[in-house]
Parts: sequence; C-alpha cells; structure tokens
Amino acid sequence: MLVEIVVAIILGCLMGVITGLTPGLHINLVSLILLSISPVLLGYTNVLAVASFIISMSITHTFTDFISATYLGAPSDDTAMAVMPAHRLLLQGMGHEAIRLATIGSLLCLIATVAMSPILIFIVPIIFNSLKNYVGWLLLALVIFMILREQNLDKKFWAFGIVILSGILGIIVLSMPNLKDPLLPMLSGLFGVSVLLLSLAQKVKLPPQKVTEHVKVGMKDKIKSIGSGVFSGSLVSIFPGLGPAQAAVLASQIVGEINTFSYLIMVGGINTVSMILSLITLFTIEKARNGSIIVVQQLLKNIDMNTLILFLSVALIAGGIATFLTMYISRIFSKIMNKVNYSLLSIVIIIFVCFMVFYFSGFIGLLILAVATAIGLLPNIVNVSRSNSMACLLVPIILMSLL
Amino acid sequence: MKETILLKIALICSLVGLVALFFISQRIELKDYKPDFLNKNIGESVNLSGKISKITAGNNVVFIELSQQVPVSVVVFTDKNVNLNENDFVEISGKIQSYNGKEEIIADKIKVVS
Repeated sequence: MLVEIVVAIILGCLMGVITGLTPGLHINLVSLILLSISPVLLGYTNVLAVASFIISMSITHTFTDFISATYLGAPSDDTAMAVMPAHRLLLQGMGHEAIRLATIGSLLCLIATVAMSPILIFIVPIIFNSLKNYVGWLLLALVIFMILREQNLDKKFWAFGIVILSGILGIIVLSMPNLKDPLLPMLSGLFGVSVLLLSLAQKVKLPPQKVTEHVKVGMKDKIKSIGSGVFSGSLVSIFPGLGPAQAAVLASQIVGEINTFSYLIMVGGINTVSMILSLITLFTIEKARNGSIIVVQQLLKNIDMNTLILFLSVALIAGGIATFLTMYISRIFSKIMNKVNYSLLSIVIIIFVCFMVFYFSGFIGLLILAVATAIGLLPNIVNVSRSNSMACLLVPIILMSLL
Repeated sequence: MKETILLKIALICSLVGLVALFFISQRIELKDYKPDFLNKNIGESVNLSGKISKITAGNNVVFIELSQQVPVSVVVFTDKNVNLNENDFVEISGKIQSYNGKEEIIADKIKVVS
C-alpha cells in the first residue's frame, strides 16, 4: 500500500503542475473525471491511493497556480486577489520573487496548519456551530468596510458603483442555467484580461526578469502573514460560500496595512490552508468545503483518525515536492519571459483565455468575459481598489445567506 | 527567507511526511474495493460505489450488477418503485451475504451519484 500511495503522490504532484499552469483547467474537473473512472481504477489500485493522488494534486495546485497568475496574468478564483500585487512585482522584474513569497506562504502555512491540527480538530466544530448562521452578515459588513475605506467621497462613490456592477454581474452569471465553469470568464475578465489590456494600452515593457532574493520580510511581518493566512484559510473551510478570494479580502481588512510582500505570503497560504482544513472538516463535521476533497469524501465516505493522519502526511510530502517544482518552473518562466515580447505575449494570453472560455462556457462565456473585462477596467480608470470587484462573488453569497 | 532555506524546509517537510506515512500506513486496514473482499467479510457492512452495468427488477426485489474488475451482485429488497437505470453511478451500503455459494451485497441504502 505504501508504494502505491507514494507513486500516487508523485503522479498527483505532476498533475497539480499541469492544472496550476493551465488557466481554466481546475482540479475539481480532474477529480470528477477520476471519480467517474474510479470503478476501473479501483480494479488496479486501492481507494487510498486514488484519494492520495487527489490530495497531492490539490496541494500542488495551490502552489503552482501562482505561476500562471503572476507570469500570465490568468487568475483562478483562488488567485484572483494575488494577481495585482504579483503583476506589480513582475513589472519590476521581480516575478520570481513574487512566486517565492507566495510559495513561502503556502509551505509555512501548510506546516503551521498540520502542526495545529490536533487543536483544530477540537475547535473547528465549535466555531462552525457558533457562527454558521452569520456568514451573510459577516460578508455584508466586509463589503461596506471595503467601500468606506476608500480615501474620499468621490472614490467611495466609485467603489460603491463597482461593487454594485460586479455584484449584479455575479448574480446573473452564477444563476445562469447550464453554464459550465461560470467563474472562468467572470474572474478572467475582472482580474486577468482587463489587466493585460491596460498593460497593452500603456505599452508596458516588461523589464528583464531576475532571479533574485532581494526581498526580505521581517520575522514579525512573516508571522503576521502566516497567522492571517491560517486564520482566513480556516474561514474558507469552515464557512459555506466563503472562497479564498473573499477570505483574502477579509484578511487584508483584519491585518490592516501590510506591504505587498507580506500580502503575497498571506494570499499564498490561504488556498493551501483551506485545502488542509477541508480534510479536517471532513473528519470533524463530515463536511468537505472543497470540490476535490468532496470527491475524496465520495470515494471514502467518512474518514477516521488514522486516515486523516495519512492524508496530512500526504499533504506534507506533496507540499515539499510542490515547493521544489514551483521554484524550478518559476526560474524557467523567468528565463522565457526575458526572451518574449510582452505585448505579443499579452495578446497571445488574451486569445488563449478567450479560447478556453469559449471551450468551457461557449458564446455566452465570451459575452460574460467582455462585460467582466469592461467592469475590470473601471478600478484603474477611477483609481480605486480592484478588490471591490470581488463583490461579484460576495454579493451573491450575501443574498443567498440573508434572503 | 532565502530560497535555499525554503528548499531545506521543503525537504524536511517531505521527509517528516514520509516517515509519518510509513508508520500510519502500517496501522490502516485497507478496505479494498476489489471484488475478492467479499470472500473475507461475510456478514460485515460494506460501502461500495460503481456503475450499474445490469439491472433486473423482480417482485419486491431488484438485482443489480455493479461494474468492477469482476461484476459485483447487489440485491435490493423493496416494496417501492426503484428509480435506477443502467449506467447510473451509485453508492451502495449494505451487508455481505452468501447465497447459493455466491457472495452478494444486500443493500440497505443506495444513492445515485451521477
């Protein structure tokens, strides 16, 4: 069994690299395909190996998806909030530094969460039962706070407008029947294509990408980032409807002023923590908050303490391997980025995103992409925070929770 | 944090995970989903998932053949209409029984997954 699981971990890590680097290819899709072919797979291997494959793929994905978000400007729902700061560093020739910071966040938050798992096993059910009815109010307060924190009345007005527009877009898109992968066109438009179009319009020239280690984050800031990463990642796993992007908004409001570097560490950790916590919630409250972990639940039903420890071990191994893979691939990307014309690359990426959107969501997806891109341009034009556009996910969840 | 330190932590993380995996895998009894598990667990409860390859309805009983490496027989005793079709992916929980020398699962719960 051990050998089968180790092989599954290695294969899962490799698949996590593919899903992380390919915009639009989500781990949930791969997990569902695995579930559908599991009757055949289980004829050749055991169910724990299949589950280990899914877990290691999911963990690796939370590391590698920052590469496509940073270098290609193609965010998923997990990395939407990291695109802007990572892109800023890319425009300073520090793309690799951005990846390094996010990887530090992912790995340290992974270790911290596994280390804290004996405590989390006890407190997760208590927190879940005490606060499960207040998610809507919590998010509503967050949206109001996001608007009010803008500097002057003019900007507050524009922030409100962007929240309303993004919120309406989110409600329409998420309630569309038969629309596959609704988040892909919406988030790609709001946070990806719009950013690339602005780069094209401003004739941004990408400076030479250097593999440096200039950025140093103080121990205090690092602890603050890891702590808030673990805290907000936990919220994602405990509360239904709360995603990594919303948690990042929430965490950035809670921790207050932190610099771009600390922010990237925090955002890097949130997705990894939410994946680990999903395993813990599966054990404690028999609920999985994550698509790929739901597939694990479908395969195994409920897990006992030994299986949880096995999965946490799998996550640790996968996290270590993912760190090596991410840093290695990021170096390759840095070299490639020095050789390509950034404007041309931006156009190629926009075309690729359009193709992926058309493939997964059809013509209606392209329409959503166009509208989302238009809304995504607004924060830059009126000079307000782009995080206001996350209302596209926050508003539908608020309405769903409160109405 | 320098990259070399990060990679060292990653290496330690993987090694700790491997050691933990080695010890915990000794303690886990593999609930194998292969058909030969039927011979070892008569009378025990099992959970099984798979695709329905064949379904036959009788009087208050439904016979299901679940697609595995070797097909698994599942029997459902019910007085209600069962809305199941071939190619449905189902989760079954029930007990293993021996009938005429052949093992089959007497299902007490069936859920259509897709």
